[in-house]
Amino acid sequence: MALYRVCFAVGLAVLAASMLAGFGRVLATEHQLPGLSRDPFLVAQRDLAHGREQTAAREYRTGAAVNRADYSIQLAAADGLARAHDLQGALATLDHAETLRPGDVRTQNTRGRAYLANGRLKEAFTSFGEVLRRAPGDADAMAGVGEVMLAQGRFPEAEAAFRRALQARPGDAALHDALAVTLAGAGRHAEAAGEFEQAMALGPSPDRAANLARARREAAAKP
Amino acid sequence: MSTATSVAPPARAATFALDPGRPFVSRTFDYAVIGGGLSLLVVAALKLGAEAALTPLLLANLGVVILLSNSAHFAASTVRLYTKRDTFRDLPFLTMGLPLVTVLVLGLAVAWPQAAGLHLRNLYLTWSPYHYSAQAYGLAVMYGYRSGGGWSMADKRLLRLACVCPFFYAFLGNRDVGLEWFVPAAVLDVPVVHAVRVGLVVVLGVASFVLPAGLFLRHQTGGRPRLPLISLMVVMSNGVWLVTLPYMDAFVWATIFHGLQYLAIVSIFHVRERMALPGNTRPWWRHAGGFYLACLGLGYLLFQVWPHAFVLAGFGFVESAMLVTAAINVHHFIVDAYIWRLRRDPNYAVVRPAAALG
Repeated sequence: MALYRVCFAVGLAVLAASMLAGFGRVLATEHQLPGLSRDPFLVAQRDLAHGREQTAAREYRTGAAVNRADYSIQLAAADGLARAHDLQGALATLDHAETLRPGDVRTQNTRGRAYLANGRLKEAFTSFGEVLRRAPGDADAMAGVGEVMLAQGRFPEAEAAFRRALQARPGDAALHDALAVTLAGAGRHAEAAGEFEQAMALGPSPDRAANLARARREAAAKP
Repeated sequence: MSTATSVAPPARAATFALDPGRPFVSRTFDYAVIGGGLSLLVVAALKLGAEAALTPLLLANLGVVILLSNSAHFAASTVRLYTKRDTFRDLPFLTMGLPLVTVLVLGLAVAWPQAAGLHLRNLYLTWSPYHYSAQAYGLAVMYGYRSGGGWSMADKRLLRLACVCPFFYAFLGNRDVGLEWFVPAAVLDVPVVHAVRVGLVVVLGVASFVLPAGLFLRHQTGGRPRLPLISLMVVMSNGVWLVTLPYMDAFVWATIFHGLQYLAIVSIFHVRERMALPGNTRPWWRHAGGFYLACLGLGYLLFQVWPHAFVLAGFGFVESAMLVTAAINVHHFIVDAYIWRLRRDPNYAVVRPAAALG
């Protein structure tokens, strides 16, 4: 019983110290209390946003390796690895995801986005095309095709793809945003402002607000 | 959650009379929350096309919902362990030794995430469906006792078999955990083995619903101690969670409803015990509220704060967050296997119909 009491005291002390340390770290580094998110890639996303690609890639790789049974974790890790420019890591993760859910179009769409994020436009187009052959109405794949076209400066094709995607998934702020960028790229600033307005109404963000203001200025300057 | 008592079955007339079960709180509450009725409504809504509306709503509020239900439920077993009478005396390893063991195992797992952490994670994911099934069995038996039926060992074995079918379904069918954790892919890819496995998964999926329904009908018509309807609902809900939801990519709903179910029953036990204490002057809601607040607070500390301590110690956030979750789950499964034992335990006074207040 005495040994149990010692174990209990040590365990309690370690736990109490851990909680204080956890609070202290978040307060010191983020100037707020730990949030309620349970996303294990929370820090990886932050690292990525701040350009710390190697640190982010390490987090994504570890997450994928520790939780190999979770399909959504595998997809999120692959997406993060691709954005951290570890294309090989992303593709290997997607190969494993394919074994978890054979034939799931989300794997192929993520593969397309991985190629796209790394400038491999031809492979990205092929990946999205494969999805569209299997699921012709898939909004993610249509949006992917739109992104490939946009990256090549092929504005009419990009516009057509984003409009088709919006037909399949109306009310998607990101799709309105992508269409607005396409229209702005084509010099159709008044129409772009309209799409940015819709994107803002559906999902406001500082970037969208800035883009909307710029599109309005451009539209006013070149009616 | 599991129970352990044995009473000889009394003779009953062979008539069909549906026994809804004797509720702990009220029929509506027990059927909706403990019986899983609410979860069945949500699953039906998801199946009927409400997924597009419900899933974004859930995802937008996931952190809060998970804290209120899932995190609090994991903490609840620990709060119950340390607030239940005489647990330090009766369960010294569980109360005093297990916390340190958990910390040590977690430390090793975080230090070697791909060697040790992976297995801790696999252990948690493999054990989890068993824990769900054991909870369904425990609740079904509890309601059986409350309805006054004496149960033979054979009855209990059949009910347990019906309850563990969804576990075996998940064990055989899930990728990378369960069977795939133990058996090399080269063996599982042998055509005969693969075919047997696929066949068993189908059979177990069907048995998860047919067995409890058959047992229920047998009890209703065979002159045996009656399995109340709410017991059937508990077992069927568990089948829906483990068999249907993973294929709908909606298993997060199951964790929420499992958490709610657990929080409801553990709060009932806590409140009943506190109300029965000599000299108690507090109303039930203060006991319930205090218990739930303790669960919320501990759940927040364990899941939202603890991982950051490992980051401060130099480990990555991703393995810290994932493996803290795994360790808390395994700790919860172990604690839960002991705190619900009814034999020679004050728990039994709460289950007995004579003690019912609801």
